[in-house]
Amino acid sequence: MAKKFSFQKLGSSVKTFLKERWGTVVFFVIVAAFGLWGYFSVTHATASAVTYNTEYTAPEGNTDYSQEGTYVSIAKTDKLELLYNEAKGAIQVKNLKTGYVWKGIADNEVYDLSSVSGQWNAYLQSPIVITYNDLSKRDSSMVKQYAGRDALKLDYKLIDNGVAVTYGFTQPGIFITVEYTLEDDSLVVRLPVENIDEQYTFAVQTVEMLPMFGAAMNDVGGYLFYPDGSGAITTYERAPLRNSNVRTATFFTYSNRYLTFNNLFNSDSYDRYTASMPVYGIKNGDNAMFALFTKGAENSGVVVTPSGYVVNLNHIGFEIYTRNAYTVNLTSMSTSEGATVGNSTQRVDKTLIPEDREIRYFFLDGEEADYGGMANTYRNYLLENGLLNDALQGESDKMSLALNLLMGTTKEGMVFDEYITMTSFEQVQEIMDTLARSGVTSMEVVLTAWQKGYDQYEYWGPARQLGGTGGLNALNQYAEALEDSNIYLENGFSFGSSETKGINEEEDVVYDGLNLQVSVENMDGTVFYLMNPQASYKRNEAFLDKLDGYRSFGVAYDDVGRYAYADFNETAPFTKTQMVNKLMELLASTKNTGRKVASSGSNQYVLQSADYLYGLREDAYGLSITDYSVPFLEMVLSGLIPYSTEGAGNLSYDLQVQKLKWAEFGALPHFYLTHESALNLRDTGYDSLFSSTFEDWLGTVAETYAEFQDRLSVTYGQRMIDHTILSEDLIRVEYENGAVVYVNYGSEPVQVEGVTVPAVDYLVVGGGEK
Amino acid sequence: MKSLKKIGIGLLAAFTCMISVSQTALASGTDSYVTGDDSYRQPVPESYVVVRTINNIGGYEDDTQTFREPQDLFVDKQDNIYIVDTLNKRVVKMNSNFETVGVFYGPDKPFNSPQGIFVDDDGDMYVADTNNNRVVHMDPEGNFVEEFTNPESDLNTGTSFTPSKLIVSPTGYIYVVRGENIMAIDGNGGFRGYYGQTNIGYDLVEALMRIFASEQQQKFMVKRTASSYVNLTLGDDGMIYATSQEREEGEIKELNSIGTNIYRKYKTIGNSVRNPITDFINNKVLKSVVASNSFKFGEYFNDEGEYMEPIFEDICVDQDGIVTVVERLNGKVYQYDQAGNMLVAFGGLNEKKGTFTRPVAIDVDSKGNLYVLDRINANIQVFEPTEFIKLVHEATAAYNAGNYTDSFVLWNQVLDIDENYDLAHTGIARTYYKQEQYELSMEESKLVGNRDVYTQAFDEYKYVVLRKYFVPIILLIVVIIAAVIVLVSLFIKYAKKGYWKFLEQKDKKMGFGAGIMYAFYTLLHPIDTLEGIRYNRTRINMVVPYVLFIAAYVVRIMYLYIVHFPLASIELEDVNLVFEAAKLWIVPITWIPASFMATSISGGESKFSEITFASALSLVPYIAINLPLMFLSNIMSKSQQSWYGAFSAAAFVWMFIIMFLTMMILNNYTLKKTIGMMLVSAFMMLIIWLVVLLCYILTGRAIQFVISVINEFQLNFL
Repeated sequence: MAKKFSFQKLGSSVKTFLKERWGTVVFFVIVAAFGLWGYFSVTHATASAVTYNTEYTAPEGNTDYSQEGTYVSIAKTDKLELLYNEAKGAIQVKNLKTGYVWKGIADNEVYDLSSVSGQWNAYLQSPIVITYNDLSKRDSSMVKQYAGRDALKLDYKLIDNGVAVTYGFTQPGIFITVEYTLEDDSLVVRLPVENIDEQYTFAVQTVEMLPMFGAAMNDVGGYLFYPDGSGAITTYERAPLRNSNVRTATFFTYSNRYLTFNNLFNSDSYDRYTASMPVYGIKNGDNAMFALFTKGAENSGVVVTPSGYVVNLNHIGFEIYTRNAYTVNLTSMSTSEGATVGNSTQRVDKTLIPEDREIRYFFLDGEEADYGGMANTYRNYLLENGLLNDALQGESDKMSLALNLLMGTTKEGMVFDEYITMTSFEQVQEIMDTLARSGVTSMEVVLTAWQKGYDQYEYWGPARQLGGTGGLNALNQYAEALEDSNIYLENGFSFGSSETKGINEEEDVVYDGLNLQVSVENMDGTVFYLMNPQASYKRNEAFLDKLDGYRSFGVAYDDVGRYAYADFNETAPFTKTQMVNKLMELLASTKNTGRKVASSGSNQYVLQSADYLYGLREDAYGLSITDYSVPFLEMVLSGLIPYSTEGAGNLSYDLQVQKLKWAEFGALPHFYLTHESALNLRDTGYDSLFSSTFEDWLGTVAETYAEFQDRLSVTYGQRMIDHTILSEDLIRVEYENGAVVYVNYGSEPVQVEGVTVPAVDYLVVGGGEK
Repeated sequence: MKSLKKIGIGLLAAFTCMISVSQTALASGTDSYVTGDDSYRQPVPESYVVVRTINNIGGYEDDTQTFREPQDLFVDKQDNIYIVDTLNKRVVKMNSNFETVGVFYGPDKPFNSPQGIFVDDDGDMYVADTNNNRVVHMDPEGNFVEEFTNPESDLNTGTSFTPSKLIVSPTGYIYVVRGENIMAIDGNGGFRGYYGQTNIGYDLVEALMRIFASEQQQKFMVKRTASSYVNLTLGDDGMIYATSQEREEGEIKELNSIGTNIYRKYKTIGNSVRNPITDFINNKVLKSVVASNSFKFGEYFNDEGEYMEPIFEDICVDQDGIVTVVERLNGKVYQYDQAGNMLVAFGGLNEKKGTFTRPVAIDVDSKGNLYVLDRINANIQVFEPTEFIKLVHEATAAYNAGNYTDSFVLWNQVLDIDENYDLAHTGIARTYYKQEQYELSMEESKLVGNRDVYTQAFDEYKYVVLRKYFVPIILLIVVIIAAVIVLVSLFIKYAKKGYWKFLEQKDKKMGFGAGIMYAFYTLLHPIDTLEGIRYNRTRINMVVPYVLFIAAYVVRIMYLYIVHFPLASIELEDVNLVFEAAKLWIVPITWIPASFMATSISGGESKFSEITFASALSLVPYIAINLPLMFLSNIMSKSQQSWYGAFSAAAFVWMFIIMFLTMMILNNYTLKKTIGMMLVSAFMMLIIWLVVLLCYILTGRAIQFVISVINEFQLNFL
């Protein structure tokens, strides 16, 4: 007799099974969960991955690089002639006035090509160089291809005033068409995004544009100029004095290309890699070339290679980033020493950054063939295109004192954090009145950390300890009556933290290419974020609303002009260029409220709106390849926007040396002060303000201001048109009205051009009439 | 620029990887700083600026222009510079204008990777011709004078002679770094002994091992050796300044003629018996915490906040006795005054001017310029002192010369540039002290937290006040004593009341107020109190122990605020509330389950609740002693530290006694059994700690593992 089936029995046996083997059950449940998760993830990944169905067959090449070919004239203006070599796909520009020929690639006249072989030989002869990845493989390594060897298919088409050249890298199936034209006495090189044709799974990451344009050996005499800090030059003459271990340097336009919190936040790595202007220049003998990235500069960098790096050739060029790249940390594991061993790799986006690029090359000669001429060219370009604010409007106001005031900060206490008042709103008035009585009647005053939640990146809420809204109101009324002075409330919108009120930690922050938040966590658990441009804009608008009742304050931005980055947020992604546009909109919106705008960052995009720039770099980073720092940025701004540099008189090891720097850079004398004693700042985030007590510095500030007013006011409001390094310690600066400032850093007096410059001092000559 | 809150260094550093975000300092472009007795970096004005970088020797007789891994540098009295260009097997001499005036490849036979040089006042060069196993003496023109090979002696056996860093004393002795010693060789090449070996102290564990080990085992026991010397230099005062890897006394040493270190020391190593338990805790568990809270030469944390033990590659001393060293692992240059106070730190490993890749040698010229040789970059950077650091040097020199008025003026000039410069405040405080302006001296030293100067001034100040207000003070003391007597008698009355109330009202549960008073009866009659609990265990009020726990914590926190500044063991801003609670409670809290477990398996009678109650009683003495002590400490200073320490220790001894009695009385044990059970409980406690620690680490690791798996998965497939 068959056993009768019983639900009851089944139930009890299942029960016993579960009871006895629950471990097994749990195990299989977990395995199943993992399996399901894996399955869905993989299907999701496959669905979203780019798939290529076509097999790619490389076309035949048509180029024979052994042929020298000849350069034929393609376009001509009064001053320039553009020549093209069909065999090499290369261009040359001839300066008709001087007859100097700027060569797009190195030939045997420039460098003995037979002395180098392999990829460097190809590099020297390449108008463009690309790097690419294989998208069909995960983490495939980057491959470099040189047009001078690997572009087996060369094609060209004549266009208006120029030529469009297609470099066909047949092996990876990448075809890039670059347009070279002569316009307005400059060479314009364009790379529209649709001219990048990828026929297979190989994705272009970077394009080096004309890396050997104007390359020269040391005996030519001259220098490379690049936007490191305020500007830097590497001279050809000093090459033998440099370290034998020469390295190349890359500077990324506006902010580091690789988006990590630290790359932006850490001041050292920020200073090392950031170029605030998309420019570079070459001086070869009596001729100079100035390159300016005029469209799509946000995704570019300048690569500087002085002589001695593999070849004895000085060369410099723009590198274009056609795809976003980001660093991926694969594993982090702790070793026995407790150190974290990171295994990281670079990833790139699947899609090209949808932007057109345009670079302009200007050719200078004679007097203008130096970085002074480059600065003039750059300034004119910015003015003509409405990118540079003429804040002074030609009328030279009284020279101002640049004053930063730290209002308050918090010190971590055992139970409660202690608020430390450094300067109250009332004390700001007191300081300004005292200074006015001492003869300082014109000031640009920036108030830092006036918000209650400043450390938490709050944009509003005047701290109660400083006088609260009542105090701010009183200060506003006080500021209304000021004639020659401005008070700016400093604010920042690029950073946020988990303690910031009113930010959405999911929606308002920046994501990297892996859709992970760009953040860093502190020891106490606070998470710091980069804010996305949309959120920055919104918060700025809210701030302007709050500020509505305080009509006489300007706004100072401490980060808007420093950081530009892309946001890969899935819902509302921003490219770096879009971010820059948004920031320009943000600044314009502030300006539209009738307020003055100040900025401590000097990225090119703030120059359109800024009325005052503070905290400008006063030197280059200091790489071993750099010979001198030059005030290129300051030359561009001089006479248009008043500015001060990051060096504060009260924080200098020697005020006299600091004054010389200001005199050389045409900067306003700058002090960073507090009303209360600087001893209160020990153990706070402002400990670097080691000496700032107003009472102690009053005399020095007044004296310094009087000295600058007395000796340098003739240069104020004038454009700096020339800057010459006469010797290690002696600098000559010339203004448009003919005033010349000699700055002697040396400890001995120097005779120069008929005048004696005292030791560790400066001398102003001429410029009587403005 | 806004700042992320400073990232402190906590105990957790030992277990978790620290994220460090350096601050963006808009305010000052300086990379110079000083550290005091903790690892906190206080920025100071830029102190040295690079005025020149020497990358090659210029044109000199067709010689190779660039250096290859140079390893030593010497600046003589005439400011000539000598570079030992190791892989080019030569010595380059430059004059003070940086023109090459001589290149020497070896006088009699070619140099073989030379690694060190010393030049005497006559310009005679002594080169450590390392792989030729000799020191060779050349005249200023590079002609051979003599050579010194391995001196023969019974004491000099073992490894071969590969000299690298050396000096020659004015008496003509050659001192060569040799492992844990500096070996002295006389002018005739004779062995003159070892010099400057550090006392390695007495190790209890090792001594015990030696007693119990068999002869066979003893053979394999490694002989303890002192730490190695790294480099040395000769001071103008004839002293030998050396750096070593010796971490107990101090890595920087100034050795007098008999080889005794007379520079600043962390502590004196004697033949005292060392305590292996605290040693273990200090060296292993709390390594980073200890390192961050006491004076050390250099730093024990690099720029990323990771723990490191500094190795001072080279040392130089200027005419005034200012010592400058260069460190290998973080590439910093540290400068100390004659007394071992840090003046400034700068440099670092980076690619910009004024930083290094692999600094190996440093020297100073007569103008105070520093020359730093970088082995990998193969260059020399010349650092010129700024006005600021020059003032600091002058001020320390004036103070050391006993010129207090001058140093006072100079220190004030330093403060005009840097209001926050610690040493200037200390210098001024010291001068005030010498001028008998004790109050001002106290004020200044307190500003920068200098306990030693404060103590000196405070002690004097006490006498001044006492002399001035003798009668009122005596009266005040009488009043206070009277008040104390009244308070104590009141306290005794209430404590007794609480005790008897609990014992007599047999039908009622213990009230809260009465319970607290009962607890304080422990101070008078601990045994009675505990027996009272034992016989009335059902009636005790369980709120009381928890209130006691909290009260003790409150006392601890009050104590931190009120205790007199020089006696405070920890800076207020460094206090971590959770850590303080853990320190205070960890013993009683683990003691309760540990002793319960131990006693319940060996015939104990005590219940969990009464153990809890009784253990809480052990905190009563802590409260009773620390409450008055924190106020009393305000008239004590560091010189009365031992008194103060005795009181603190008394509280702990008392706590222990109560715990012991708890065990004995609650379980009705004999004395012997109690001792045994105490040990068992202590062992249990250790096990609890270990288990908790293990769980903590394992869960941490497990979570980390899961997170990284998820991350990896996302990265690879999504």
